[in-house]
Amino acid sequence: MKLVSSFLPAQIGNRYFLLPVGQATVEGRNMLELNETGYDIMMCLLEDCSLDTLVDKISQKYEALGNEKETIYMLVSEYVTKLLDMNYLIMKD
Amino acid sequence: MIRYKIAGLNVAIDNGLIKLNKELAEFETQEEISPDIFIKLEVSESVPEIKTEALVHNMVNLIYDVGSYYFITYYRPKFLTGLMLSKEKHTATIYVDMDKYADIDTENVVLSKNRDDISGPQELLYAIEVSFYFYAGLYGRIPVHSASIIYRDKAWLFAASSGTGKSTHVDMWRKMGYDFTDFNGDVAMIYDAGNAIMASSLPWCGTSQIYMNKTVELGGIFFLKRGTSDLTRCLNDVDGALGIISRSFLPNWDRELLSRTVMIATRLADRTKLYELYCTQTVEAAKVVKEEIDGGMEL
Repeated sequence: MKLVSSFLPAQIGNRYFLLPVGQATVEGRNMLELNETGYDIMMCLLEDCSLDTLVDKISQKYEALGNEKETIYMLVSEYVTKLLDMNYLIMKD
Repeated sequence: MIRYKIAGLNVAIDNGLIKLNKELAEFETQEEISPDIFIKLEVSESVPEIKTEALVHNMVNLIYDVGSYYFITYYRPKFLTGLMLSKEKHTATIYVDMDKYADIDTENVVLSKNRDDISGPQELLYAIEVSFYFYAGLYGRIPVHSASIIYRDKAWLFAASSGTGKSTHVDMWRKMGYDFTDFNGDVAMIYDAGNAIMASSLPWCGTSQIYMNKTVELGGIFFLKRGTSDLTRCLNDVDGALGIISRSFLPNWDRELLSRTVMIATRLADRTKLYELYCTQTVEAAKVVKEEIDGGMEL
């Protein structure tokens, strides 16, 4: 899965956003404010990435161990499902 | 080829025999220095064949990323067949329909207020404007959609989307008889000149006919929102940068272009006074803003 090309994750000062790009602005899609973890996830999803790889990257960044990794898997999975439902992500073959 | 100096940038336009609008004429220069931006008209039967999918399709045009350049085609063109913006050189090529070339006269044409509703000679002016903004971004400049004034020797921008009341707000200043000068009725370009943030009026001004060939220090930007009372609120750097990004006319067709806008806006917001202005369409709004400016300048 991958972030659709019509959104850009951006850090401005100490805050994080998902900004609409090009066609998304024409379609009236709004900017989203993210927390730091949401931004990290979006940055990983700039490139095509499986759920397992995404969880590995986030776990590594937050130095998660053992059970923590399972919790991260659950939370990230829930997060990307919402993003897919809202058409922020596309599944690649 | 005619040379212009716009917002501190040297622009050369090879316009063939077509008369360009009179607003541009005020920005002409005789300086024979190499241009920062080169715009040429090409009278042609054919334009490059585009085989890629459009990045953006809106009411007016289709925008393509073709590797070394962006290409814009128009749905119902009267005169233009396309606009090519090179990524490698600061050169724009406007393709003009050969059969209609002789009919183009933009000298007294006013750009439509609604950029989604351009036609006829406006197409050419719009293509020149788009080309200028595209390359001006590479020089750290942002065109801000705003009505602007010069007050106490500095430029003050009232930024908002169309129909919010930018021009009405300036009219309230006029009604109060305040000592100010009109700067531009639709857009002002801001940039970091090292020791100060500057604002330039541009030849483009919507339908207002309010423009001048002048660059002055930027005083600040007020982002207008309609309210039931009149009050100003200082914006922090992040909200200020977001305000500039949302009112910018820089192209945001893809991530690379938007990243550039974010970077410039963040840098400018850090050194600019930025306010949110909740306002009514009464003279009270002008009084509140003037008090804010006067108070800040007397500190």
